[in-house]
Amino acid sequence: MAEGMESIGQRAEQRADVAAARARLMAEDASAYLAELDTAATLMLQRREEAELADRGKWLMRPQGSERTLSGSVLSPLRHMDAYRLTRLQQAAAAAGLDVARIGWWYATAALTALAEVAAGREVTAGQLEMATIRRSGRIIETRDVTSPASAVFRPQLPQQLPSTGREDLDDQAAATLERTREAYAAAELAGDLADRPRLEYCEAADMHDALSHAAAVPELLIDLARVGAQATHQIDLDKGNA
Amino acid sequence: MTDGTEGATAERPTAAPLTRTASAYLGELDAAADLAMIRREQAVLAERVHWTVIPAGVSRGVDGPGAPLNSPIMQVDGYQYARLQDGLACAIQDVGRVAWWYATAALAALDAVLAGQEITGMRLERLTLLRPGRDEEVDAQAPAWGRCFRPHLPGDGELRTGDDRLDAAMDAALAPLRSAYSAAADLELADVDQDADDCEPPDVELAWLDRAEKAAMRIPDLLIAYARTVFNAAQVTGRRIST
Repeated sequence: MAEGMESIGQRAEQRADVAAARARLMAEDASAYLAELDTAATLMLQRREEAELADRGKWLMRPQGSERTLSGSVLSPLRHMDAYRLTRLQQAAAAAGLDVARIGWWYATAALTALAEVAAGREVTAGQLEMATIRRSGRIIETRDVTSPASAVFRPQLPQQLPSTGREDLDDQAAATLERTREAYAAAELAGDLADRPRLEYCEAADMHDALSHAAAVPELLIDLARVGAQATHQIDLDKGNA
Repeated sequence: MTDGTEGATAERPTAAPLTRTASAYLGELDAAADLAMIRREQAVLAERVHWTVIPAGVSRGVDGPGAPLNSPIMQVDGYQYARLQDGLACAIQDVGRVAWWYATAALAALDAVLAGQEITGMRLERLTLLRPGRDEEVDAQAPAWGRCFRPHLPGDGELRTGDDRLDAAMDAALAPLRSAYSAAADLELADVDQDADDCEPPDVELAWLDRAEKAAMRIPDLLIAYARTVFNAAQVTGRRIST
């Protein structure tokens, strides 16, 4: 008897879940799509970290066997081969940086699309998110032609402001991330403008350096923005479903 | 030292031994060639392994028709694959460069030993330093056989140590190298023809091109094998004369 009561209760709960799921604007596959982008972003950040560490580690290690040539390390072929290796590690680190930029562009574009749709009360599916990003330059651009992760092709259009979720902490976090991303965009613009000049003054060169290091954070800021955006989307979706 | 009138044969000047620095230099080139080939093997394996591992996280990905196509993890896996291919292309190129270097230095060393001149590591360095092939970056987009560096080879019967076994070993190593060079030259001609005709080559020609490409791709390995034989000949000849 008690078991029967329990199963009735469970079924009622399941029905409530199904009803809530139906009321949701965000399809299950859209959530999975954003979650996968999140995993992919983590993966790319880790690979970049690995590549950067390998590049740094290279400087600490002396090539084995190079002491054999009596004429010293300058002539040593092993030393020289080590330089080839260093070039390869630098190339790999640069490539890993571009991959982070691509995923940053992709994740941010998908998350901001989902947020805009759900906030406007429209349903969103993975198919839609895929369509919103598939033919755009930042996602599948041939990165051989692009040298900087802060380059314009990797900077998706930012909204004026993000829709309110009704949760103050989340909204503040979103506004702060959006602001920081916008500043990094401005730094990237400045670095681009300065690079176009034929000759830089000393102070301009210092500005350029600052701007470049600031702009280098664009991909990571986009991933942060995408994460906040995805969270906000879920929050709004949940609230609309419960309403 | 000898005065150059005595030697293994009357026609030939006396062979001088390889100096310690020259031996060490060639010994390091030998180690460098091993290292480059191991790194190439690693790159080949990394690329092959990539095909056998299903990317983690894809299972929870986007449901429905065409799911793996939409899955961001799958797509990111494509980025990774492109990086592995780039890494392999670089590793192949590095083997090509070290093979060029080793073969050029070994031939120069044997040549000097046979001419009765002492040769040092410094001199070998100078003979290879500013020559294209040693530090030359090849266009990564070029066909794989086009990335094989081809040093000048001695003509038939040009380099003779007077020791039948050494000479036979050098001839045996030189013959496949010559046919690989001619395969590469054929491919160059075929490349020009294709540009001129701008039409699809027939199947027979494709099979031939494939074979020629495989033969040409072996140039770096054959050069390393040849360099080893020549280095050995230089050491043995030098030692024989000095005792």
